[in-house]
Amino acid sequence: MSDLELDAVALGKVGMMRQTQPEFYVMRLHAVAGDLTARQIRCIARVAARYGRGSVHLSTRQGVEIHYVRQEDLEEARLELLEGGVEMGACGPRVRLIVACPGNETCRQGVIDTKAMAKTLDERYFKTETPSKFKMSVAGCSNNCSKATENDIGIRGAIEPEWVPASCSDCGLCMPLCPVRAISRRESGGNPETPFRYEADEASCINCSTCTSLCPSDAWRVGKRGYHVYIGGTMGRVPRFASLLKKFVTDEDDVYRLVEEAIAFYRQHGNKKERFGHMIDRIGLDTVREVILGSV
Amino acid sequence: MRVKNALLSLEPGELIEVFIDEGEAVFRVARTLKDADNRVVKVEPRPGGLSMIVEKGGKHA
Repeated sequence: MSDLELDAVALGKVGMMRQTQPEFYVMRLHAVAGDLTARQIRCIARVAARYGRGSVHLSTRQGVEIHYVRQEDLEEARLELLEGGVEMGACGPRVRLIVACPGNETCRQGVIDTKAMAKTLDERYFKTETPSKFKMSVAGCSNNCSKATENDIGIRGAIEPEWVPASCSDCGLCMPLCPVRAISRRESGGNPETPFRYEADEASCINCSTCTSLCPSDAWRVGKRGYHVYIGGTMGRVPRFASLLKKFVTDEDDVYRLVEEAIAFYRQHGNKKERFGHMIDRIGLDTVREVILGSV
Repeated sequence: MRVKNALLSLEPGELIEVFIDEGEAVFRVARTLKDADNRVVKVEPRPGGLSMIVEKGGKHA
C-alpha cells in the first residue's frame, strides 16, 4: 500500500475522505440526530470559509461535510473545529452517525424521546469497528421519517392504545381512521353501563398512535409506550428492507441490550465488507433472531 | 380545507354533515377537526368514503 493509500485509510478512521480530486479531502463532521448548536454552526462556517471553498454539504445522515480541504490543512482545520465544539465524523467500516427525527420533544406525533436514545447510542457505539459500515436510526412514530427500516438497526417508537369507555362518544371515527382497520366495535351483551365497546386487535395493530392522537373525545389513550426494533436494513447496490427483531419492547434498557447483542453478533460473524442485512440473509434470519433475542 | 371553510360559517353547537373520501382524507379531516376543538358526532360508511356529522366547537361570541 502506498503512503498516500495508508494516509487515506488512517484519515478515513477519523472522518476524512479523499475526494475525486486527489489533492483535496472531505471533512465529515459529527452530529447526533442532526442537532448542532449555533456556536458549532458558526465554527463550521468559519472553517469552511478558511480551509474549504466557503460552503458545506448536508449529508443524508444529518451530518455536515466540508469539502475541498487540502491535506496539509486537515489537522489545523480539525483543531479549529474542536475548539468550536465540533468533532470529526466517521467513514469506512464502523458505526456511523446516529440518525433520529425530533421525536416527542417537538413533534406532535412523536411517541418517544428519540434524541435521548440517539445520544446514548452515539456515546456507546459511534465509531465502533464493524465488518462494514453500520448505520442506526431512531424514529419517533410509525411515520418513520428517519427511515428506521432502512438502517442496520432501526428503533421505532410505538404505543399500545387503550380504550376508555367513560370518555367515548361512540362516534365511530376510530374505525375508518385506523390505517390497518384494527379497531372494531362490539355490543356488550346488554350491559347497561357499557352497552358497547371498541377494541384494537393486538395482532393487527401497528402501534402507530393515530387513534390516540385523533380520537375526538380522547377515549383512545396511550396505554403503554415501547419500541419496535428492526435489524438488517440497508440501501446501496443491494438494498434490503429491515426485518423486525422484536415488537414492542417496553423497557428501554432491553433495547440497548438488543443493540449490543446485534452489533456483537455482526462483529463476530460478518464477513469483511458484508453489510449486516446481507449477513442475516446468509446465516438465516431465524437463526440470527434466536441468538440475539436469546442473549437478552 | 373545504371542511374548515364550511365550519367557519357555523355558530358553536351547530351541526354539519361532511362527505369524505376513504384514505388519507379521513386522517387530514380528523386532524383539522381535532385541532379546532370541533366534535365528531357520528361517522357512517358511504360508498367510496364516509359521512361525518360534526358539531362546531368553541364558544358563542
